This record gives sequence, C-alpha cells and structure tokens, in this order.
Amino acid sequence: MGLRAFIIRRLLLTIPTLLGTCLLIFAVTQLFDPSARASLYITNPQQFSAANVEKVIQEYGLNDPAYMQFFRWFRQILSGNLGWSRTTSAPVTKALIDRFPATLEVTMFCAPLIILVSIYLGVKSAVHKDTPVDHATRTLSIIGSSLPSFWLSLILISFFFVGFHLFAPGRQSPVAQDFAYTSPHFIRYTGLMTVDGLLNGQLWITIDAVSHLVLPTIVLVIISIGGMMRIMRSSMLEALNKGYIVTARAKGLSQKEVINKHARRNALIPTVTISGLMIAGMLNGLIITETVYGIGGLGQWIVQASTNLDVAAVLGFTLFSGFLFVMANLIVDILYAYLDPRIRLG
Amino acid sequence: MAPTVKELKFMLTRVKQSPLSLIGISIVVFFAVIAVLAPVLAPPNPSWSAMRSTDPFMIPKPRENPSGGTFVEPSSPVPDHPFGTTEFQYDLYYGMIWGTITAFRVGLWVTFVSMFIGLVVGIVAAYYGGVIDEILMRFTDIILAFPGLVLAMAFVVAFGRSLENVLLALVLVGWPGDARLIRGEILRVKQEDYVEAAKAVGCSDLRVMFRHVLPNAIYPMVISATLGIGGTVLTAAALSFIGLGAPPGYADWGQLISTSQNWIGITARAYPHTFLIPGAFLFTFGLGWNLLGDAFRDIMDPTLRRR
Amino acid sequence: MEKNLLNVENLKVRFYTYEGIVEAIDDANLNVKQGETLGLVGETGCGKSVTSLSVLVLVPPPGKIEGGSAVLNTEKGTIDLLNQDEAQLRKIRGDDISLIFQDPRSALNPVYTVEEQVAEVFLHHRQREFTQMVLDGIEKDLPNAKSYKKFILGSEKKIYKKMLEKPKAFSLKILSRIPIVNRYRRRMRQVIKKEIIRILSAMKIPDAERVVEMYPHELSGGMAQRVVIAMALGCSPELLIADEPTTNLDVTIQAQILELIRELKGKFGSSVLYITHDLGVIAELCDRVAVMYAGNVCELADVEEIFKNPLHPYTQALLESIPRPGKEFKSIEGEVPSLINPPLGCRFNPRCMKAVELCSQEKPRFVEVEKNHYVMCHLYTGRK
Repeated sequence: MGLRAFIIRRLLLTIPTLLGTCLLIFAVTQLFDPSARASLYITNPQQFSAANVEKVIQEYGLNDPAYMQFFRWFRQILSGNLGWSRTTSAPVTKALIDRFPATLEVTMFCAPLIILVSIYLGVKSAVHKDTPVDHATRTLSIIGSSLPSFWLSLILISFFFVGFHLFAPGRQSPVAQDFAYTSPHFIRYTGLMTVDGLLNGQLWITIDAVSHLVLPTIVLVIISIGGMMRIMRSSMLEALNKGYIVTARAKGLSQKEVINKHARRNALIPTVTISGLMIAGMLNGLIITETVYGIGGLGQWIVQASTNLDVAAVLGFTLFSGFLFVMANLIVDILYAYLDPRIRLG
Repeated sequence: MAPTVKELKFMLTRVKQSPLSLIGISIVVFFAVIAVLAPVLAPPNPSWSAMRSTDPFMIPKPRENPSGGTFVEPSSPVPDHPFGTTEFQYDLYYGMIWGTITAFRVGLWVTFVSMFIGLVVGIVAAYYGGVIDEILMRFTDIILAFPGLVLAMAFVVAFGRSLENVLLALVLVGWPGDARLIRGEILRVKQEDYVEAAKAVGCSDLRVMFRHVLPNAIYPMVISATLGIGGTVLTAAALSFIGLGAPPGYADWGQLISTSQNWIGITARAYPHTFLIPGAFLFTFGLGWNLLGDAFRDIMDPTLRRR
Repeated sequence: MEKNLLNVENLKVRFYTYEGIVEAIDDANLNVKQGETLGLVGETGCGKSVTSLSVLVLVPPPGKIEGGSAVLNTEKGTIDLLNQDEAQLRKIRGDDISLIFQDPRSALNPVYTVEEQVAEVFLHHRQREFTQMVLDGIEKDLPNAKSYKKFILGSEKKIYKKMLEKPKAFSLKILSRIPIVNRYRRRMRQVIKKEIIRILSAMKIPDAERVVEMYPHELSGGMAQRVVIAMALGCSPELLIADEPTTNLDVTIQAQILELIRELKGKFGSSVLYITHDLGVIAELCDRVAVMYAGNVCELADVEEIFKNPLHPYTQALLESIPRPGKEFKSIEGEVPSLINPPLGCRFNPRCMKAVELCSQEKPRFVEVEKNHYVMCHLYTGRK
C-alpha cells in the first residue's frame, strides 16, 4: 500500500475520534448547572455578576435542548474560544498559551532522556538476560513504577533544597524571573527559558532554568522508564530468538552488529506503540510534578482550576490534552508503519 | 480438568522459586493483615475527642500537641503516638492503619468493577462483532483518547469532590482499557485451532465461549488486574493529594501527604515524618502489587517456561 | 589422494540446560570432498543441525563445543575452524562457508527489503571489489564531467579511495551519517544492486528488478528460499551447508530448488553439505551420504553403496522402514534415547537387532571398513 496511502488513511481516521472527544467533553459540561456552564462562553470578567450571568444564559441558550447547545458550543470551540478561567482571570485560550511553554520545556528535557534510557536499558537487559545487570534494571523499573510521583518530589526537595540549598523549586529563581519578564533587554522569543537565555546572550538565565529543571526531570524519568523498559526488553528477547538472527551471524556479522542492526529495529516496533501510552503517563506525572515544584505550567494550572471548580479551565484543558493525545497517537502510528512494512497493508 | 490442576501446581512451584514474587506476596499479605486487624491495632479512641463523627475513617486527634508545640504544627513521634501527628494533630499511626483499608477498598473496588464492565463490553463486542463491535470500540476509543488522570479530574470536578466520586471516575476511565484487552484476547483465541475443533465437534457457541475461549483469554486480564491495583491506588492517592478526593482528616494516605506539604521545611519547620511515613506505606503497597503482577506475568508466559 | 575440503573429527558438543547436560553430539566424524554433495541424513533430534552450526562455531548457548576438530582445506590454506578467533570466523562465515536454514521466511528480517539483506553479505565480504568497481565508474565519468559535477566526482573519488585503503576509518563513519553529504553512497548502492539483480536472476527468480525492492512478507516460500540461497552463494563459498532447505516447501517447489542447487553448484564452484531427513532427496541429489543417529555419525559412504550395501544396523533398519507399495509397514523398535542420559556404549544398542554384549559396554570407533565406506559398529571393527 505504501507509506503515503497509510498516512492519509490514518489522518482521515482522526477526524471522527476528535469529534468524539468533543462530544464527550460536551456531555461532561451538561453535568453542570447552567450558571457554571456560563463560564464557557464568557470572554470578559464583568460578565460574571449575577445579573449578567442570567443574561449570558439567555443569550447562549443554556437552557435549550442539548443538541442545540452542542452546535453552538462546537462552533465556538472551532473559533478558538474556550471560555473564561476564573482562577487566572483570563480567557482559557490565553491561559493555555501562556502556560504551554513551561510544560513544553520540561517535556523537551525529559522525553528524549526517558526514551533513550529505556531503549538502552531494555536492550542491555535483554542481551544480558538473567545476569546481575538484568536483575538490577528490572528492579529499578518496578521500583520506578511503584513510586508516587508526589512523594518522590517531596523527598527530593526535602533532601536537596531544604538539606543542601540546591535546586530550588519553581521554574526560575526570583531574580531570573524578574529579569526575564520585566527587563527591556530580554526578549522572550520562544517562552522557553533555556532557549531564550541563549538567544538573548544571557547564559545565566539558561543555567538558572536548567538548574530548576533537574529535580522534576529526575522524578519524571524515574517514574516513566519502568513500563517502556520492560516492553523493550521483552520484545528484544523475542527478536533475538528469531531465525534471521542466526542467518545474520552465518553471514559473518558480529554479535554487536546483529543486535544493533537486526534485533533492535524489530524490537523497537512494539516499544514505539507503547510510547503513546508513555506520553499519557508522562502527562499524568507532569501534572503532579509541576504542582509540587511550582513550575507554573499547564499541570499546575489545571490543579488549581480543579480545586477552585473553575469549570471552563478544567474542561478546556481536558479538551486540549485529548487533542494533543490524539495527535501523539497519530504520530506513533505513522512511525510504527514506517518501522514495520507489514503494517502498511492495513 | 486435570491438566488445569497440574498447571496450577506448576505455577505455584514457579511462584515459590522466584524471590521477587515471594516478596510481593509477603507485602500484600502484610497489608491485608493490617487491614483486617485495623480495629484491634488502632481502635477509635474517644478519649482523644475531636472525633467529628462516628466514622472510624475520620482520624482522631488529641486535644493538644503531644510534643508541646502549637495545635497547627505536626508532632514528632512520641510514645502515645508512635508515628507522630500531622498538621492539626491528626494521628499518623491511626491514619496509616485505617488508610490500609482505604487503599484496599480503592484498589480492589475500582479494579473489579472496571474489569467487570470491561468483561461484559469486551465479550459482547467480540461475540457479536460487526456494527455492535464498531460502536463499542468507538466508545472506548473516545475515552482512551484522553490521558487518564486528566479525564478523571474532569469527572471529579463535575461529580463533586469525594472519595466515592474518585472511585467512580477511575472506573469510568479504567473500563475501556479492560474491554479492549479482553476483546483482543478473545479475538486472538477464537483463531486458535482448538476452538475450531470444539465447534467441529458440535459444541454450542455459548459452551465454546465459556469453556474454551474465556479460560485462555483471561490470563492477560489477571496480570493486568494485579498490576492495575497498584496503579489505581497511586492514581487515587494523586487525586487525593491534589485535593479532589478524600476530605482532610480522612484516613487516606494521599490526603495525609497532601497536608504534609506545608511542613517540608521551606515555609516552616521541617517535619519529614509527615510525608515520609504515609509515602512509604503508599510506595510499599504499590510495590507489593506490582511485584506480584510482574511475577504472574513471568510465570504465565509460556515462552519463558523451562520444562 | 586429494585432500578433503572439510574434515570433521571426533566432534563433541554439549548443552548445559536446567534439566541436565545434554550430550548432543558425541564423537561425530564426516568429511566433504572437493566438488561433491554430501548428504547428512537422520531423524529429528539426532544432531544434524548442531553439527552444521558447529562447523561455523555458531552453536547457541547453553551449548558448547567441547572437543574434536573441524578443518577446512582451501587453496588459501588450511583453517582449523574450532580454534579461530571471532574476527577470523566472521570472515569465513558467508564467504568461505555459507549456511542456509529450513524456514526461508523466518531467515529473512521482516523490516528490511531483499536488496538490503543481500547487500549485507556483499558489503561484508566483497567491499573492496565493489569499491574498485565504483572507482572505475567514476574514472569513466570524470573526463565528460562539467564544472560542478567535476568537483562532486572528485570528492567522491577521494572518499572511495579512502574506503579502499581504510574501510573502517572514523572519518568515513562520520561522513556516512551527514544527510546530504552521504549521497556518495548511492554509487555503491547502484553497483551492488546490479550485482544483486544478476544473482537473483541466476537463481531463476523472475522479474528480479521488482523483487529486489520487496519485503520478505511479500514473497512466496519458494521465492524467499531462492533469496536466501542467493545470499548464501553471493560470495561464491567453497562450502554450502543447507539445513533442510526444502522441508517447509511444496513438493513441486522442492523439486525446483533441488534442481537449482544442483545447477548452481557447478556454476559457483561450491561443494554442498545437504542436511535432510528425506532419503529420497539423498538418492536424487547427493554423491555421498552420512547417516546420523543420536549424536553419532554411524555410517558414511557413496550413495549407491549405502543403498546397495548398508553396513550399520541402523542404516539397514532405516532402509527397511521406507514404505513401499505391497510391502508391510515396518518401523524401528523402541524410541530415540534421551541425550541427557544416553545409553552406555553404542547409542543404538538398545534398539539394535544385532547387538552383542560388547555393544553396551564400549563405544565403537569410526573406521573405514571398505574403500570409502566408514562405519561405527563393533560388527565391523573386529573387536570381538
């Protein structure tokens, strides 16, 4: 069938899924009473007074039958208006955009590390099966998946920061943050402090940002590698048993070449599919970790919003994360088809 | 039935041989004992007063700080309070003991209910196939399109904050995974030769399903369930930690860690035992179930056997 | 007397498993003459595959080669296979000795195309030759090249020259990974592709140009096996070891593949060690045959000789048991022994009609009893 045809087909399949996610979110909105739902349509804070809320309810027909509401709401979503977030006193969309870079930065640091470490340890563990190396890695993976992320975060803060005054929580130190947001010499091109520091020639900003990322990265890596490493290990073990391995050696390849060129590529296939789940797991862990460390990203915002019953924010973020997740799975599926030609036949 | 018995015996010997699975079993048994003996180990103590209700899950607190500090501050371990107290004088020892029951409640209830729903949906989908299968799978797809914790949070915000609602939310988020798993396994087993043989001999569809397909398809679910208990308890604890689950004062490990956040030493004096102890319990509980699930996975994997 | 191409003597291989030590091969002897096809026949589990793997020192753990010798005599010299270091062995595998297996589809890696997998053998063993071909091609194009093309060709020439001298150079490793720069590899790829198509056509694969781009799961069983044979013969090995290559294929395809092997033997100048459990194939294809039982080679002789005059009781029983129309169905009494606790003395003695007391006490030796006819049996080795 070819890779291109597969990609197109897969893209088309995303549309009904995305529609379905909207439907689900909408169903959740119906669980709230109209005054709470009003926040989904409001665009400026004045409208929150009681009288205005009534007006909003009338205006947007929040007492009308569900299907009419859905179309109204859906149209509004498509225009980019997700409502107003009480906790941040800003439109939900703006709050999303403001906080996205912080979360992106943490992800940028952690994701490659997690993937590389999992693959490396998985391969090592499989090739040296039943040796101390294998046992140690498996123990690490089980411990990692059993650790509560918030507990590990608290322990690390308590040990490093309270104990040794290293790695303060938060995204930047107060001095750096002040400089980055108020100084006329500092232009926030990307919103990513590590990158912006370099772009502006202010290396200390970058270093400061990196030092604040150390602890969250440690936490996220430890709790995320467990599952992925185990899949890599088992698929590697399976690949090593296959006939083409012996054939490759009979052709004269060294054990190292065989592992890297033949076994690993086949073993990566199931691992790639799992990485979709891993991304979800990381997002879950990210929410908690951001909250504990005060990173000021999306995760922290959603937690605040939940405790304050900020309906628009919670639902807006849920919709956004669903969208992101669907996209991530799309990429994973395409990657899978690229790696395994057998899949392209659909 | 005889081969099944032999299988079980073989599995038991493998279990006994693997040190990790033994550790896992001991941990789970340890907690189970605590949970069962809770009323004996930590009897609700009226003399401490401040018992807001007769619900044994509300942690009692002494009238004043046994270490002599203020009422707000936690207290380090003292003879009457072996684990000390946390913010507002909730007794940690009591919290740990009764928290074990909460943990089991959360883990087992959510896992079984979501597995049950998943089984029903999965079997229906795999059995009828066609349009019904498509619809049901689209449904699971939609729920699975969201990261679990995020969707659970949205549900809890919608339903209202309480531990019961957390359980409900986790079930709603969890059943699609189980449904897909069992459906996939049934479809796989359906292809096997022995199923066709059974049909060729004249077994009815129902008999084939329950006697041949299900017993073989069920294994991955058992593994997933055991591993799931650990994960569920952790997720529920996370939700309580955020403040979306059990109310303050309830015997829930996540909730207790949440209250300890003020006392890690940044804004006030450090009382590490307030988060170390509940966290250790939470971690060990999850570890036990994970070890067990992992051991089951290794034992039930036919390719790893060495007869 | 001409030296044998391959001499295997007193081979001993053990597998250390959880259940115990499996004496898989115990004193196996065989030899392959230059230009002949030697058949190795025996029941499943008698050790044929392990023997072939031992020649290339590819026995997988928990197996270990514990004794004996395997010597390859080529024009380049005599190679003691069991005592080579890994680097030497890697040069021999695929180049001097090739090995093909039973299931062609599992022998091919599902994520790489046919071209990529066959090219692997060439790149491994014939890289100099192909590099030279590329350089010759560049030399030809150079005079006609215009300005910027001349520069590109010039740089490619330098790279390939370097490849000729030091193929493992670090600079080459880096260059090959830089996206646009590594286009120089295209030339090599084209040259190799031409050769691959040529060889695939020699394998009687129709439309080789298209097949080259395919993935293994798109090939039929017969095609896949031809590809595997192409990989094996690509470097014109002295010895081709074929481990039941047609067992998984249809009978008609089997006939085609056998015919192919027969033809190619002459074309590529290889000798063949053909492993099978099918006596019919042996009769069709082989010049000489070795009979194996429970880890021992019990008889080795010309094909005609074996069928006319089988000496070892096992061989006799085997030939008796071939079903023939009109004849009563006869099988060999007893079962193949467990190799963890093999019988003492001759391993066939519990099932042997002609066994005497000596047979359960002492192991017989592998002796040339008549001209070119070897037997491992007390009946013939005169130790009564």
